Amino acid sequence: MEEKLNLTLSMKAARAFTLTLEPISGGLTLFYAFINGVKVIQADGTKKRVWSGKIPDAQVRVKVRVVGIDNASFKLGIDLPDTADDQSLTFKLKGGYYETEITL
Amino acid sequence: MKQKLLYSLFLLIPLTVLSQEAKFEILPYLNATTSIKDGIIEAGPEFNWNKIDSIEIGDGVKIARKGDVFTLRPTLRLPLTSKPDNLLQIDRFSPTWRGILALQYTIDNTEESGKISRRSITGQFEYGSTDFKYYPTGTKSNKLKTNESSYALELKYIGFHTEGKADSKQVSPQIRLRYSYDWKAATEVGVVNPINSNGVTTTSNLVIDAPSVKPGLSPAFSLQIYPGKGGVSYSPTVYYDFTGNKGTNNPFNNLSRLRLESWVFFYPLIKENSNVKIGASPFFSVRTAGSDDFNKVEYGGMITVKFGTTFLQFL
Repeated sequence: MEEKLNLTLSMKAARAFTLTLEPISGGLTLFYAFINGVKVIQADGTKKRVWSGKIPDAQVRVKVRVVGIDNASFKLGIDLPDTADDQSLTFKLKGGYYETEITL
Repeated sequence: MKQKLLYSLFLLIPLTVLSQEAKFEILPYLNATTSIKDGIIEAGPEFNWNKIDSIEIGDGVKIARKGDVFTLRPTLRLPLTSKPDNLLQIDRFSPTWRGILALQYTIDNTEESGKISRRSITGQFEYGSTDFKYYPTGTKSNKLKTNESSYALELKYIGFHTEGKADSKQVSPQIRLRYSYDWKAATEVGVVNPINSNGVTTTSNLVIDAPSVKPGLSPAFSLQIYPGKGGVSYSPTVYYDFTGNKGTNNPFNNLSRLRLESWVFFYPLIKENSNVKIGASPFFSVRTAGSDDFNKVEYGGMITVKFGTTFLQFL
């Protein structure tokens, strides 16, 4: 009974989230994304990379690290249904690297 | 006591397997390389198994952490020409089709902060079966046909290291060892035909000799360097190609050539067309043993344009 209750609470506390990293221009070597320190995207920068899943309702930290050449650019996409639908930002690397952290 | 140990092992094995899950995905794979005189195309699916661990990130929500990646790539290589005698042949050129099975294991230690570091090891096996026709008497009516199997084995290591900061140097050491056992058709020669009814003598181009096989070993080392500034990377590379005697398995007892290249790659900022590389390199090739149709020392330059490949894809 106690287990069932816990499960219900955790289901209520979760929200859907989609994170995308997409190459735009220049040489993009590697894409990484972390949610609360857990690596969810780890791929080369040749194509669009997507992570979809549930995240807690409480504050969540999303960190993105991108390695490439000079000031190549990439698009970071965030989709939190009913809160921030399909938001995207284009970033330029500085000296072949970029990292950003977003709190949701 | 021994029984207890055995039972413990049986209990441990399924736990080890169950504690790690794998995520599976299929992607298309295409690699085409062409030059003025030759070219190859490799195409097929790419199967990726991502080792994942389920980690709780709060409120009882668990997400899958990406771990090591195991990649399986069964592809088919088709040559765009059958001319195998260029000094600067496209790497891995084969005059006939090859079925390729590549297995790759990637370990990526990158965390949320700190250094970015990854390594991958790839093993590749290639196989192709070819029908060769030749005319030993120089007449079309006397045709011989033989079927021969070619194969190659390749091992490759690609590393990548950077500080994970703006303006920091990126390096990727790459090592490749390739053994090939390739059957090739003999060169066509002009054969004088008998005088025809009008008194005209003509010639035909025919393959007179049977196909031959030569073993080859090609170690290569390259260091990809991005200095952390500007839109250019550098790739000094050395190849040492060994070729054995016809019909043997030993690649060390005939011809060998050492080739040095020093690539400079420029990455143009073309919107909606990322990962384009334009490269140029001088080359210097010296014959260190045996004989071939080229000068002992050959030199010149090469240019290349690559689409959809990153800094890491070179050897």
